[in-house]
Amino acid sequence: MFVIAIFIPAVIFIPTKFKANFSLLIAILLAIVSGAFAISVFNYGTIHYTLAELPLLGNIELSADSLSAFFILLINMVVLLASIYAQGYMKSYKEPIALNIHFMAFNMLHIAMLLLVIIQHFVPFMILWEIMSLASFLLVIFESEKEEVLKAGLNYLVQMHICLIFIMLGSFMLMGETGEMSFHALREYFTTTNNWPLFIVFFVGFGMKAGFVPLHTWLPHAHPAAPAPVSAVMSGVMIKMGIYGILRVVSCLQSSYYEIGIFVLVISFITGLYGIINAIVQSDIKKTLAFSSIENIGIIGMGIGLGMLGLGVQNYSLGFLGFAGAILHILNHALFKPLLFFGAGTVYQQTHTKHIDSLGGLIKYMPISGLLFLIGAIAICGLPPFNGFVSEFLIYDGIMGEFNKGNVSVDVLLLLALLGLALIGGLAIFCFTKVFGIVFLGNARKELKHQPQEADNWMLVPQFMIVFLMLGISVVATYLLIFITPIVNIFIPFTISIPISNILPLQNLSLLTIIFISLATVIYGIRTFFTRKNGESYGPTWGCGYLAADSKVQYTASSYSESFGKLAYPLLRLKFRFKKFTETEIFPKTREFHSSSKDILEYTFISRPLWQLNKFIKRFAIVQSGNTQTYVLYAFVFLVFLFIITFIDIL
Amino acid sequence: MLGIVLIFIASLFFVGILNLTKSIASGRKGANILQPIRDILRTLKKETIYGHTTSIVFKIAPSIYFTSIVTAILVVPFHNQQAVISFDGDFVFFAYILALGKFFMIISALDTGSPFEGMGANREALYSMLVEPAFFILIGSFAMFTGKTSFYQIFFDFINFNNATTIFLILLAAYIIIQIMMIENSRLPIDDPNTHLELTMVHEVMILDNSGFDLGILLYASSLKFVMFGMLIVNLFIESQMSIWLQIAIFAGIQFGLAITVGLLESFRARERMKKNPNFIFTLTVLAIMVFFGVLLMMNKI
Repeated sequence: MFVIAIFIPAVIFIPTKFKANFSLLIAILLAIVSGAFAISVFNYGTIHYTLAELPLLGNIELSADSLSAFFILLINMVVLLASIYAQGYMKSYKEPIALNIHFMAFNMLHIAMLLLVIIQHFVPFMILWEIMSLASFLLVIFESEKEEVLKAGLNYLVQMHICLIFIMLGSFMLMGETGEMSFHALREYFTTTNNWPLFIVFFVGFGMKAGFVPLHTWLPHAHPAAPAPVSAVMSGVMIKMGIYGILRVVSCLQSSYYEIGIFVLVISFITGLYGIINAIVQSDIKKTLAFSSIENIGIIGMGIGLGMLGLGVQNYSLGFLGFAGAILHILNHALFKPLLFFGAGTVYQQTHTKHIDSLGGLIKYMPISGLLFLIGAIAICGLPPFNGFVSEFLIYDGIMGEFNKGNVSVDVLLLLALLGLALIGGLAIFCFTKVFGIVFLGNARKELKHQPQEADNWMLVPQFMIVFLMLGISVVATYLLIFITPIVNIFIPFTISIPISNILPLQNLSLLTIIFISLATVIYGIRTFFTRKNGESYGPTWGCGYLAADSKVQYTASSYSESFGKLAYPLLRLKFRFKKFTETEIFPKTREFHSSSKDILEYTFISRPLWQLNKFIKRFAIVQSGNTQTYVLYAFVFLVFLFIITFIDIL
Repeated sequence: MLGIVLIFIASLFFVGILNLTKSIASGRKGANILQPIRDILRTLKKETIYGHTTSIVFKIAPSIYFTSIVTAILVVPFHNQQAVISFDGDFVFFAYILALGKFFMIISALDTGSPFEGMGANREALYSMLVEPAFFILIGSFAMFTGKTSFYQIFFDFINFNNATTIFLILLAAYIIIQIMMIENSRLPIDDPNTHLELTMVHEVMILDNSGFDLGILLYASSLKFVMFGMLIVNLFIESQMSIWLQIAIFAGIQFGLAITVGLLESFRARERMKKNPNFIFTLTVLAIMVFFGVLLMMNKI
């Protein structure tokens, strides 16, 4: 792997046309090497390896268990798909230096993530974490000539370092207690000390990367700024590195499962709801997807929380289903989110806008991309027959199956989780019918400069692969559950095999999936028969007698989300700015209408305090006159001050 | 298997009885109870006309909507007659597959590019989102009491007419399911199928542009949906020692009663203001939480 890494800078010498191909080649080589390694872990169990006697660091332990192997496969999958997509997407960019940096950073990100999941020692872990953050920062600011991109990038960079500080703090606390900095030491530390404080520190650090509310504020800025393949990698796997960190720490925990489980569950519940509620009112398509990533992190977190709750009350079936649901949802989200980002990328490439309200009717120009986006939208809502349903079903199953065994507090928590999942599901449908319906259906809402075209094959092929995988997951869900059993067993103190009662529902689900698809095909076949026999024709859409209707009277994204925005006003602060009609105005002229929403948490915890701090600090700006003589005066005043205090002997 | 046959038979008459009730209540003689089915058969034979703006989504949506309802019926049991496919957590599948159908109807309405249909789509999305928690909490509470998670076992274990609390909970549950049925079918008080102004429609406006075969299966899907939810209510009122004939009689009685109730409600009640609808639906969630507390009480947990 290191040998391949050496070749990354060689991208500089490749002609502009082939830079993307070269980057793909490196990604493939990396994937082959690490993939083979991961598969051998699944076949032969955990692999240990020690890099001995390194300068400064001493012995560094590398170890890959099935959790690492799962993440290696996941990273490779998403990075390869994004790399293939980038072949088509990056074609329109010609600036060689920007491309050099971009592709180097892309491959570096890939390597950093692959190594992160096998390293046990905290110092190299943090170095790699930093490489990952810096590489992704470079990727985000690819279009750095735009001001908002640069701003988003800097915001991202700052927040990622706060996140690193917490991880550092955690590992120094560990160092102080045990004299060692590795996950092994963490496990020993947890056996003797209270699990709470250190867990919280790590949770804040890793949770920031993952995007748990209220640490999510970088996400909705960074994702829209980055090019589509990068957004796909960031949302598909990079934020999951935060989840990986949390899972690693959870696997080291020794006690307080119950309390920490409640903590994680409640935070995730808020994250899920907050994410999807904000996703609904966004008018930027990629921002919507970014908020929906936050929602999915919430669902994953709910799985983890339920799993820990299960361990806490020694209900291992709930534990199993919770963790299994979380891990499966990590995989599922790494499939449908890149698919949606690819779709959004295609839209952006063809129309040069991400503003949902300016789009419409795209499915007529790009039918394949449109249908692929539709499939992604169905999957992310967790609807059958696609994969999103399987993982949500496992979590539901965990909640339901264990309902009557616990005490009241557990019951209320489970009810909360149930309520949360059901609400998130409904809201996701609201959100994605809006995105798909407004962007791809109806008529164009604004005239575009060029007529959009179907994406090229480089961009379509990875999307087809994803759809194929998603359908595969829902058909062979049972085998997948067997496949992830060893991963789940990392978290459960003793090895349990999958309860047979959990395989049965999945088999039935697969059966129903097949029944549903075939039944739909049959009915559509009958329909085709009937329409052929009775004829079909086209006419104008029903306009209620109003003949002058054009594309401007269509429902827009803002009008679609308004009804919900009013319901959720305390959270969204949806504001409208427009001029009211006066009575004398018979023939209205051009008018303007603005609507805006606020990320209330970002506003309360970051924007407003920073603004106030700024205001306070600005008062001291008076001393910064800019004249050299004033600064000399300051020095002189200080000298006099020094003289006085030494003279009257205070020091 | 018996259950699914009964559902399909009852779906032929349900809307007919409903319409007849409305006619009689308004002083008219009313049409034959098979008239709605005849209408559907006639629409099936008509030409299909699409709007110029529509795409493939508009063509596949009705078929998928219909399929989603038929697939949902597959997991609905008829008391001790198991559903065609019954498994732990099947009611989650039930809710989600219905949601898939709704998803397609919503985007097909947006596909026409008509402002009215956009409005309807938006309302449908909002209301069906709000009603979801009530259903999950209700069935979840029953699941908590019985420790079982499939429709079939939940009903089988829960129904017991010897306990006053259970009877109270059953009645409350029946009320909630009836209201969910009304919302899912876009009936009063959320939506009035007889309204003639597009601006005040919800479901009707979404299918304004459908015609021919598509319209036919959409209309039939609506009858099926009524009877399907009716079947859930039927399950609440059957005890295990009843004979099979009595069970069928209860089924027929309840479906008949429901059709008449809906008809009477629609004759004598006005639609809620659109603004009030979310509040009305939230009330159902509150009632479902009451069921949850009731179950906790019954289990002596509080």
